[in-house]
Amino acid sequence: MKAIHHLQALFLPSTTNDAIVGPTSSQKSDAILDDMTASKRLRSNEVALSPCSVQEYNGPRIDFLSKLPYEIATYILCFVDIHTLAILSLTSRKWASLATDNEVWRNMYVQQSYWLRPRQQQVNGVPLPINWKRLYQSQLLLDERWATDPVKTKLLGHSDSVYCIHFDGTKIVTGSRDKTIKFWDYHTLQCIDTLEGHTQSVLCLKFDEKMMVSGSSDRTIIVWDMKSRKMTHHLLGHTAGVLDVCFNDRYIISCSKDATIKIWNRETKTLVRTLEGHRGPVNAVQLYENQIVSASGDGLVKLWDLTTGRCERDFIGHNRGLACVQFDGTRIASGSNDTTIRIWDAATGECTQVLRGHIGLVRTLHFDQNRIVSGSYDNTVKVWDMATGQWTKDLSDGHTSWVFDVQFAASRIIRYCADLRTRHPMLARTGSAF
Amino acid sequence: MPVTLTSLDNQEFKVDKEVAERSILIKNMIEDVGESDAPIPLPNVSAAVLTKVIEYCEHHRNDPVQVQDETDDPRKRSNDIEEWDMKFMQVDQEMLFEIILAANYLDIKPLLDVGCKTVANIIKGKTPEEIRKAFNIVNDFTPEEEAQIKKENEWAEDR
Repeated sequence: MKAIHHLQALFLPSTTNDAIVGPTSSQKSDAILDDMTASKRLRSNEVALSPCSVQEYNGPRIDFLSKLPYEIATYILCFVDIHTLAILSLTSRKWASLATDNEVWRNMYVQQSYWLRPRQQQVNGVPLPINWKRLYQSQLLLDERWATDPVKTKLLGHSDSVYCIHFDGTKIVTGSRDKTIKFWDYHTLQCIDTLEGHTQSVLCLKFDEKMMVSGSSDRTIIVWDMKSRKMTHHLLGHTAGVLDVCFNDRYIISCSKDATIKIWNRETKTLVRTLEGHRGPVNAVQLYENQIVSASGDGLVKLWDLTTGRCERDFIGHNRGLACVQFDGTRIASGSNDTTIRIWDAATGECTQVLRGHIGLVRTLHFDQNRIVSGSYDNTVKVWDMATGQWTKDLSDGHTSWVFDVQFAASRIIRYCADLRTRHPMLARTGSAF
Repeated sequence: MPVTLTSLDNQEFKVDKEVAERSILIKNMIEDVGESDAPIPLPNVSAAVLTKVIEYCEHHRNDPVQVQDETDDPRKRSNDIEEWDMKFMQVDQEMLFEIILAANYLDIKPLLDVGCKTVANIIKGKTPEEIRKAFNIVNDFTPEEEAQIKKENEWAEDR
């Protein structure tokens, strides 16, 4: 051990020689572990003579990050924070390249354990690389925006409750109990147009580039031209309020409180077929290729063949009425007044998951490969892991009213809306997440 | 039973097996070749550095073996260095550099961590100019580049 003592004497300034025999009692008391960070401690005079100090250190100086193997250099950077990485980017080119290293930022990202893991996108089976720094920045922005009060961004204009919302990158369209449909500028949130045509509440609407379809308690469906924003067709046939609509290139599908689903020809706007089978109001309908999925107040999810109009399968399990449904070709997710969300295998009819956590009616849901976002009358928006069915996150802390609609679209935007009491939709404006 | 380690400069070090086996590299070597009196050559580590490393391993000979679990706590902190380790790391930058390399080569994860944390702590809380001074780095940015980078990283700055 003699050699060791000799070495320390060599490398340590004489004032800290007592380190060899252990800390003195006064030093011990100084060393009480508290919230003080090491960096703060290093600034205190006790260790001012270490290589950490710029002023007093007179030994050799080594460009650690440039001279150490790449793996170790980036490993060191895993111990600093993003603010320090920002500063390191300004020291030299070499350090900047390390401070923007993707692996370093991946580590920064995964240290935020409550952040959702991004889904690995693939092109022809080859996973696309993830830009972790960009992702971190987006997530940080997202957090900041969620932290701000979403009530602040209200769309003021409707004189009554808003029941439905649909948006793309340039506009938001809302339908209201005040019988009108309003167009809003996506960025300024200013109302740019008000459409009148329905004689009662507008309950549902969907649009694409060319056409918008809206359904109302007045039992009718109106088809609008998206360019002129004028009504082009009035579809009559349902004997009660039209609760949901969807369409593809060839067909418009509507469902109603009258317990039927109607298929209309998009081109001619004529009725093709009426699907009967539900024993309660059909609250939600979705089209996927040649199949229609519907959810009804009778507690059933039904899968229909669009061409034949035949009901191919019932999905039985919920013990109260259903409010929402989504279908991606293989999986169906349904939300119910029994407060659960169920995931079904479309091919076998088997219920593969039951998601429990909401304490009110599950009014709306949206899922993709990795997760489900659901909105409920319990005033929360929850995020669930699609694979495990585990609840991962609550997006709204103490939302004060019923959540009517939730959507996180391909544009990676999460929004939720509706406040029955204030009668205005609330938008949580969020940044791009994934 | 003691193990003999030979440094780069051919110095022999006799250490207890449990001390030597803090190094996963040495542990694996011993497991692979079986126990023998033959010295283990460590051609990447000088006597001066090996002395330091052995001192560390002596002190930590009874530490529980670190179980590596990625999911356990991915959070990496540099403010949790224990007092003895902090004093142990009060060496000049050259030695710190060599210790990190040796810890990496010998596969002594806790020592590598302490070394890296020490460097991280030198970096932290400094301005770019102070960092350059601390590590003798030449600023090879043009003022325009510097302004550009500053702008790009605005979101990550401490606010």
